[in-house]
Amino acid sequence: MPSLGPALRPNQWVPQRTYATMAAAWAALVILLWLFGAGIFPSPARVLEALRNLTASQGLIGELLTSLTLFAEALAVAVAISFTLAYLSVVPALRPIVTALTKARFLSLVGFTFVFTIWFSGGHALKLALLVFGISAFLLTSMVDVVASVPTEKLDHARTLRMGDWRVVWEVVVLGQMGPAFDAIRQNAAMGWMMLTMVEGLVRGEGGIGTMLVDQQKHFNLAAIVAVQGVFLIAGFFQDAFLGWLKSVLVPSAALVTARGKGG
Amino acid sequence: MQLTSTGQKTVRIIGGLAVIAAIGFGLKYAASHGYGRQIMRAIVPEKVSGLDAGSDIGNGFATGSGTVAFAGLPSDRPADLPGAPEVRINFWAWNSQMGCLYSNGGPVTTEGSLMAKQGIKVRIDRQDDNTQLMAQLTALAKGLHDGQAQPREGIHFIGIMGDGSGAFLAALNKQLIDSFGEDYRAEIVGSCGYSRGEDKLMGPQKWRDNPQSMRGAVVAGVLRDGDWNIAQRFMGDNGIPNNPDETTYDPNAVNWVNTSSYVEAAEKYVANYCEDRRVVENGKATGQTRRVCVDGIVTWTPADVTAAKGRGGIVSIVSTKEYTSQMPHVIIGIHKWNQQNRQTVEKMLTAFLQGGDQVLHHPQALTRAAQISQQIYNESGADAAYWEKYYRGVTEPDKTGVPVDLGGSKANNLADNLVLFGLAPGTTPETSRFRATYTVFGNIVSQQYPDLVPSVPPIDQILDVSYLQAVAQRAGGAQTAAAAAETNTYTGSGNVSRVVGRRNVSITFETGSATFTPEAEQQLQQLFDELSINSLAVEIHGHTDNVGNPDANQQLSEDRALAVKQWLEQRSASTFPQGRIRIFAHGPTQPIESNRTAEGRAANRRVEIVIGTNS
Repeated sequence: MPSLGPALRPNQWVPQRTYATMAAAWAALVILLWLFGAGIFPSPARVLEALRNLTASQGLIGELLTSLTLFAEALAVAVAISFTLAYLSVVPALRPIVTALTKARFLSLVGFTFVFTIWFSGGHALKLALLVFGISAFLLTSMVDVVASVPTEKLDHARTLRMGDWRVVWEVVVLGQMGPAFDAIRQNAAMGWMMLTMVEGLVRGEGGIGTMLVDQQKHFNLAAIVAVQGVFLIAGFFQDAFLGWLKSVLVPSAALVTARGKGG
Repeated sequence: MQLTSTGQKTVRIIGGLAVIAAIGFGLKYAASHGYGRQIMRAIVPEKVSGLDAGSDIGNGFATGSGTVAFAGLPSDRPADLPGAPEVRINFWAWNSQMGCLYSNGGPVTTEGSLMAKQGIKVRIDRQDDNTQLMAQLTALAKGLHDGQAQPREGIHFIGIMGDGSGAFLAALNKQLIDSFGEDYRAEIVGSCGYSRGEDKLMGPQKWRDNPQSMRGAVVAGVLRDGDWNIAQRFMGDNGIPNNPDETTYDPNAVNWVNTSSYVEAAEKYVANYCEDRRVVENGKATGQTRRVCVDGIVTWTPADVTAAKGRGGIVSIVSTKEYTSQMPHVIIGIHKWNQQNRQTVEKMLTAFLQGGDQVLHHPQALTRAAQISQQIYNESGADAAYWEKYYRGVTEPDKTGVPVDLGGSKANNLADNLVLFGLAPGTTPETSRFRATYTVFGNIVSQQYPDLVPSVPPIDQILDVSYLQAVAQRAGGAQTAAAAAETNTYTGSGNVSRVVGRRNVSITFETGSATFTPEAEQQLQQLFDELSINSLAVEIHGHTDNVGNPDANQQLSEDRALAVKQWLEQRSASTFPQGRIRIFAHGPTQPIESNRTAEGRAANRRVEIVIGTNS
């Protein structure tokens, strides 16, 4: 058993095994609290029972697939829109409009849903539009920062290599900032999960786990609510892992610059 | 074999994408092999009987001969009641509470108010979120369970609609009993008033003229809520199937766009909301998809005003104006706290119901109650005049100039409570209007959505009328108190002028006689429950097949219709007063099937029930 010393001091590196042990200890503590100190919170047995029931008779898996498909669609569209706009912010004439668009993240969607319904007349398009709007507002903000944080010397270096203006943008801003761009997607995709319940509560015709959650909440089925929230967590965890993996494949150099890049 | 870094990258990407694809296809396979959403089959909702009493709704309600002296208006200064028991209440913004609000004089008990005279300090706050209401009652139960006699957290009472109380209490009590024990269950102790027109099904005029044209419609509203119940009931009265599945479209049934609130229902209609749905017939997917748009809504004031003014083109098809007993307001508290604070509960109810009397009998009390509503509900754009206007109910032109009925509520006094819960002379708890609305709508929900609401609690577990009985005792007994209950009068003869529902009911008789078979008892009980939730005039039409002597058949159909009428009237003279039921005998003159086959003849030997108004 390695010493716990480094684990309690800041900025220390601990071996993978020690890290895993600590994570397991925290998990055990949470489960113990859940088992013995739950009170009004549904017990693990009841949550598992609800999960079994949701899967066996209420089509949880089908609903999950519906939500994941919608989510992937929304993320793809949001990435396309946000990245295009953010890269265009390198042009001074377009910068004010892009900057203005980033402020959309301060807006609440209350009341706007009605306007969106009129524009998209409802159904799948409405759900997609709302999700894209929500994710894009935040993703664009992060991406504008990513673009703006390109060091001057990198641009100068590219220019000394006789690259044209747009070639510089491609090499330095687009390819050179791939790592931070992935991080931006990873952080802002979570926004989509937060909004999923809202949009699937607004358009219930296709179902989805958001619809399921809203229905369970109306009937105060706490165990089922916790079960569906658990599915949200697991789906989010896999999404994070997937984006992390994609980043490590496409931008392997990004991991080399951080102290914790080697795991732990 | 050595791979170049580009080669490695390609292999890893292909590998990763293969994993993603495998997960996707795995989920898809599982979804289509028993783990997907099952298509729900459309069913005709259970028909509701025995719930209402009275026609000539258009003339308003007469109240009994008992008049109540004006008690003087409460001031708007909070009353100083040192040491008085404190009660916290959460109410929806709902006009049926007019009398209860009046009794308190304001958000907190004011000087000179009926509540102050009872020596109770009540604080009323608005809360339109059912989950919050459940959470607040749970917080109070938790405080009690933790040993606080007067918990500092949570609220003591909430108010919701009686027809939805089954589904509400099924969810809440499961939670409370599992966490704290049987004594901590929530229970109903009384009623502040009724919805009388404000809750409705709105749709194109053709649904009113011919309810069968509603088949294939798409209606927006909050599923499993009181407004949805109104539509369920109308469909039940007319034999129209309901498609409970909010993801499919059945052209032979009524389909639903589920919304999170009654306001969103109106917004969806105004925005002309549409979506693509899988078409199903007889519970099976046809493989087709169809774009469907919202044709109608179930909602309540002020969203009915929103729909009328924002787009128009839909009228009130049926509402709590016709289904008078369907939506009583009910007051819900925690059983254990109520028992330990019996006097406080009785005094609070006394003040509430005296407030009801004041609002019912004195216009200035209603005006003051509307001002209190404005203070408590704090609804933007709604002044006191607004609440008073929609309490009374109005007819206003919509955006297209078509007149639409909007609003309509009624405050309850003690006598109304005694009638509602079956404590008044001539009523029994077993045949009460509350039992009918609670049972019927609880069953409709659990029958269609067994996964969400497996069952509703038995009525004896959620209703404690002992507080009301004590209040009545002190008021001089139920006999005296009931003198001032609203009564309905039935005038006119011949057929109703506006048919609200028409359907055949199965009531079986011994061959060739007007004697009921043993199965008929249950059929009659169901009919009684269904007719209890409205106060519409009832026509019973007797029909026979063409076998035998036509004159004898004519007499037989009359005897059978009369037997049904007498059974209902004997069950409850209060629900079926003289004149409410009229009988018509047609003998073999109106067959609905061919008399050449045994099945056809069986279908022709029938009793048809028509309900409607004479307005």
